[in-house]
Amino acid sequence: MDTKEINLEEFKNTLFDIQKLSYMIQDNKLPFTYNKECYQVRMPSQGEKAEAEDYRSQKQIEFIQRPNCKTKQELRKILKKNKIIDLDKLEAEANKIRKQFKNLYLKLAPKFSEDKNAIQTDIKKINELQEELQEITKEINTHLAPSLEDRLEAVYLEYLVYSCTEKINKNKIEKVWENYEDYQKDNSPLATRALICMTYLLFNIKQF
Amino acid sequence: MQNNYTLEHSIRNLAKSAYWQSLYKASKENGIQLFNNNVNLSGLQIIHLYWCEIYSYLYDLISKKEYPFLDEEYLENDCRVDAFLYYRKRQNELESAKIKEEHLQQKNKFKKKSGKQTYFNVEFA
Repeated sequence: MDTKEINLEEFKNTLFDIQKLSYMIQDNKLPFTYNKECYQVRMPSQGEKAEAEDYRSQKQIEFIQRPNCKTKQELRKILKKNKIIDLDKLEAEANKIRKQFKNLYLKLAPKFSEDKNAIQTDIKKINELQEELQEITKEINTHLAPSLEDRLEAVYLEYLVYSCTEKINKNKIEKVWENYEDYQKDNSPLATRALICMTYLLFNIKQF
Repeated sequence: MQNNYTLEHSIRNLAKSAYWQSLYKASKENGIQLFNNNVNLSGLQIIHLYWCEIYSYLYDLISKKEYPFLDEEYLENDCRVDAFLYYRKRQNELESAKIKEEHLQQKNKFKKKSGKQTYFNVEFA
């Protein structure tokens, strides 16, 4: 693990600090520091979301004209055909594990707090199954990452990072990057930190 | 994934705290504003509200003693809470299925009794 990675891990961990989290939840902005300067990532407005969607559509047209562009469905077939990995089989395995831990949930739920040993045994089994499930999900996601859908999702997120990251100077708030090209050219940890903040700020918002 | 899990764990700890539970209750009863922003809630804020509601519901169940095994110690463990939420969901599903089945049996009994079926499948006694 290099220094940059350690710093990013530390940075992620600061986000989980409960006191900081309590402060962060008060607003729809995530403040952070980089090189002793203050920055913030804020929730996009409707207009900014529409702009990011437009950009994603533009990119979609561009990507689908490329010969190597594959959708998730197509990638699955290629991976299976070339005997690299059978994702359908992995998903079936994941569903089997989900069923197992749901059964364990039903066993664990009606236990009284005094029944400490039995509770610990069930929790241990559930955690093991969840770890297994996380590994499978990670493997599926890694193999599907080059798909059209995942790349478009990344484009959308990055566009939001460009439009919603701001530098805070005493009484002035200004955009960090003049345009999207400037953001794309920026290889500093600032861009990565802003991306992490935006990921946490949105926090799987599509699920709701 | 692991990071999302850790963050969610922190959000849950915050949501079940006495401070946020009383704030959440006050916002429901007296309309006290919970966040600086009223609109365009972030994902973090939405998930936080979701867990505030869940823990408020669980504290309510504990005070009513609806489930003998549910106590404050129960809420200290995320895994036990998840298990309870699934258990409760399954219970609700089974109850709904039972009611549906009873309703269907009642309807069939009624049909046999009258021996008639209208165009709109409406039974007249």
